[in-house]
Amino acid sequence: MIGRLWPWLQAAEPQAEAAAAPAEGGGLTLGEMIMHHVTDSRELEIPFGGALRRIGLIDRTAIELPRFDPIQLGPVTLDLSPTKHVVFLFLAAILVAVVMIWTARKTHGKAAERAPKGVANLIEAFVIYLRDEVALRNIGHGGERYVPYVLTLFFFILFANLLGLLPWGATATGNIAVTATLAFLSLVLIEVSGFRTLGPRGYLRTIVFVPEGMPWYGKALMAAIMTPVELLGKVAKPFALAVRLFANMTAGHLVVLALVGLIFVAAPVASWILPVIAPVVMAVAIMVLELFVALLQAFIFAMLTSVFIGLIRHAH
Amino acid sequence: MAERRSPAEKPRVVMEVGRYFGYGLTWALSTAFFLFLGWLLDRWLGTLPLFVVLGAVVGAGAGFYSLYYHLVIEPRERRRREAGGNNG
Repeated sequence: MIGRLWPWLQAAEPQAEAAAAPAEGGGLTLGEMIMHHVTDSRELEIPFGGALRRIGLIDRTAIELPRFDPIQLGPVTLDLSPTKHVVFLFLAAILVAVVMIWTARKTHGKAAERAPKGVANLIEAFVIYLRDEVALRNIGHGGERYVPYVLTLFFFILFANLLGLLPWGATATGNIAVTATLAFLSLVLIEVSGFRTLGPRGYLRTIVFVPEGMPWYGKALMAAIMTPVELLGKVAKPFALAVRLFANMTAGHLVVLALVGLIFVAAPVASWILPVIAPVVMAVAIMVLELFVALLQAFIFAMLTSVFIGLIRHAH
Repeated sequence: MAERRSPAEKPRVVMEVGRYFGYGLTWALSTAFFLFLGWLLDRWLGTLPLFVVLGAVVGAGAGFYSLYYHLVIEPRERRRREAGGNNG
């Protein structure tokens, strides 16, 4: 995490004016620097970029990502140029694929005769727990076909969360567009599974609300009022998933960066010992908590997706 | 003394919290949705704040009924159906 503030740290002088506007070249304040690291951008920071530039090995501390011409789709303009979060999304996806294929090779075929060791054993334990206690338990009979999605979701979110904790890393799941897309995919899967299980008539009953034991005008009035509410209910659950993941990942990073930033805010007005030790101890504690949150949020997203699939499959 | 939950029960708690959170959010969203509809209607008819208030009341009522239906009526009917199926 210190690496995230490295360019700023290198430029910072232990003087009051440096704490007020301590940027490497642009006169950024601490708040702006924190937001720069939490939000998406079109450049990737080079590890130890400031130090490498100082000794003359490189000219810039960041790599500018390529830009493509926007695509016009009717009234919509799509800019498909990669950003920092897109790069880390792909990195997370590649890591998931590599780790899972490697684990599969270690646990299948001839290798399956012996229990896997090390990381493969850890991944296998996660996979078995998620399959039995999360997916199958919540989805119920016929839940096997949803296990690959739930597992992919869990490991992808976990890897994306963990990549954000590395120095010079970025948390793709701290971007609402990413979490909303994941939630949208879950919404589509939930609704399709509901449609396939309940059939068109049964699925329609999960949208159009017609209470029994009422005269026709009462039913019509209730259907007119309650149908939008039921539709909102379908969207509300994935919406909560998206906001929960985004907020948790962003908030943790903001806290750590703010604590590290305290060093530079307090340095000009106090001796170096106190402003350095206290924020670093607190930032390390929050980082440990963030490791747990990275795992917990991936688990909650995967579990609630399974719960919602199970709920719609057993509706009515 | 309070009973400690077994490890197997803990994911169940997360599941229930997620479910109830969804229903709670539906209640809030339905209030906001009908309030917004009321505001649009008021702006069109020039009757502000009549339909805003009416929309908020209808939205809150509908959201609460949805919550009550999913948490009380629906499980009760399911239990009754299951009991009927077992007897029959």
